Amino acid sequence: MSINIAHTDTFEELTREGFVIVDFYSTTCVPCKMLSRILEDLTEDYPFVNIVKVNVTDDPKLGADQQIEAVPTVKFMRDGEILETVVGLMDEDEIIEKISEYFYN
Amino acid sequence: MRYDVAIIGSGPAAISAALTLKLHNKSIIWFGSKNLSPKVERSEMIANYPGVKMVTGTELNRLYREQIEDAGLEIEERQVTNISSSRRGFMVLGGNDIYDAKTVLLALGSTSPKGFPGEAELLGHGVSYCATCDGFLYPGRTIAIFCGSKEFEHEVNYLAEIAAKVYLFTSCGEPSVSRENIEVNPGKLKTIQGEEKVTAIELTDGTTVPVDGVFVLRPAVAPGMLVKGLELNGADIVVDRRMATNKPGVFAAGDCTGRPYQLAKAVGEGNIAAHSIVEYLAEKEKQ
Amino acid sequence: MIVKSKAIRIFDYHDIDVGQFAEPFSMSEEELEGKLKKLLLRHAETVDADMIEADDIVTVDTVSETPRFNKKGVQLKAGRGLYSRELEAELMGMRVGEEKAVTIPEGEVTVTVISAKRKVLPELTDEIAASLGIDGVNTVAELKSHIEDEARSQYVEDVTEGIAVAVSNELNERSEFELDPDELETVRAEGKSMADDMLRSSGLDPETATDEEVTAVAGQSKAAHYSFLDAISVDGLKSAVIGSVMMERDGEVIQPGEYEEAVKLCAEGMGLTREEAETVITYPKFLRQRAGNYCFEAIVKYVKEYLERK
Repeated sequence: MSINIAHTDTFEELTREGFVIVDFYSTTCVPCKMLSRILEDLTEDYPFVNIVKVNVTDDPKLGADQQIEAVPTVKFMRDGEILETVVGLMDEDEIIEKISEYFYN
Repeated sequence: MRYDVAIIGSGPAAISAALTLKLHNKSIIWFGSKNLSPKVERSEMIANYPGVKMVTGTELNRLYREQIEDAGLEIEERQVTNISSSRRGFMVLGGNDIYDAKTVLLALGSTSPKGFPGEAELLGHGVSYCATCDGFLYPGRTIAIFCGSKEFEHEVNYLAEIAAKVYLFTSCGEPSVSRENIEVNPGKLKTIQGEEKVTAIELTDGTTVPVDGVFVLRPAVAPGMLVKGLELNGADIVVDRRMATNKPGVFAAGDCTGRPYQLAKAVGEGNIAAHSIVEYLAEKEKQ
Repeated sequence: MIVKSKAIRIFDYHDIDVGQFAEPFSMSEEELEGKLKKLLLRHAETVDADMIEADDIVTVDTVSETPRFNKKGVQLKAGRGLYSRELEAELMGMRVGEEKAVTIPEGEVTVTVISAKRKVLPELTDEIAASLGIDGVNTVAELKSHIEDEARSQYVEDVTEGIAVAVSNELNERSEFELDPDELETVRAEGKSMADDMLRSSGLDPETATDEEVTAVAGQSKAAHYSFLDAISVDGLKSAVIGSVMMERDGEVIQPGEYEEAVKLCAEGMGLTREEAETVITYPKFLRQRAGNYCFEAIVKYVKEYLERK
């Protein structure tokens, strides 16, 4: 199980290799907590799925660089490339579907 | 703590379900208004509810309140804005808190707010429903806020502290709190404009006002927005004869499932939904 | 003197049964087991599996004509179906190093098991409980206690204020007061003013609003709305009376600068000037609120202590 918090200086390094789910949230955003809970459960269940979290309140520059317009936003990435960006909440089965597609294809 | 059921709504369908679920000893978290259904309250005279001769809506609500109290039930007056599902069941966002429940009963009534043109298209691209989520994006910028209820005053203030300029549109009279950078607009919001992002708002008087973002704060959330992927037929939630929706664990009853908008129908559906929920929980228990 | 009104007899709130307002805290066996399991999982050992079973973390090499099934080093959790339900079913019972040709909907795949790992949940013993590193937890019983205590604390946090309000209301009802007529008139005027403001902010004119209009925005008839706010203001005064008696008994003094601070906060919060804020929070009103809060805080403490008892 792997959850890492990324900042401006570590983001590239944490997302450059392998499959990563990036969870963009803000400190005061409660719906973000719902999504984060689901992602945490998933990474505990599937330890080979890595989560990187970015707090855009603490790191506004990183948020802007990544063109975050609303939170929560989730980016599915592989080897540094963005495969899909989803804005807003997702149910667990929706996320599982995407992991199944992006992690293995 | 994980509740057996989260009930959203406090009209006759919800009340009927709640009473039955309580009899079955289910743990309930119930969201709605302690004043129950304004629709019932406004009914002058109800003549076709079996067992109750010619009763006024006000009187009926009074009886309901007594029954609810006697049953030891409580209604939480919190706005439910989102319901998310995971292996744990459902996470219900009530006010600013997350509640966990194994099942959900939607008894939302028949009023479904219609969005502004441009609202759905630009949601997440300048249009937001959540002030505390997305306010951080607009320091020193210009935003428009549509405030549909007095209960959002805190959010309006919060946003006005961050943004440089706020155009406030409200459907509920003069706001009682004012800050220098809030301009209460006498016009009405007509459409939200922008291609990839919000660029401006158009008012009913024809004027266009450039803005960087729009916050739409409505007291009621449309069922399709509340539960993602919920099957709808127009504005009605689609249910089978057991009041189950297309999402396992989510049930619906009352006006929100469609016509006729009648008391007896709502009460009956609430009862059916309650029994379906009890069965569903028993099944899950076995697994 | 904080308030002009007096109390003839103050009921002891310690004699008010909190239990009548509180649902006793309870944690189901299911919830306890769930939290225990989660804790144990974090300290679980990962061992090499002999024969693949469901939930094992397996790494395989696959060869086929379909890109998804033509990769080396694919990680999956056996049986979950994240990769492929059919292929994962074929993996059950296989050993590390074994190779098998399988047919799945996507075609023919040759799969080789490279590694298989399993998390072994430690048996719940005192040693394990102690090894979790939680202060004061050295046995299984203590661990269960700890988990329950944490959940209880959360519950107390969540419900205390609501119960305190109910207790406060009962306290007022069971005490006797001699309310100063001028002071009473002032607070009732404040109540009426609040009731008026509430209607105004919903676009109604308090003078001409009808019952129907008021019901639509306040949920009750006009008369009920005003009498509700009237009752709240009188209650506030009663709490202030009790609070001022408590403050005197406890030697609690209002510090210099407190009122100025309150005015400043009000001005900032409502976007008013100091002068305007001072008319919103007059000094007598500030005193009443201060005393009322003192009383409320004492009740909150009492309620918390009750709830935290096992």
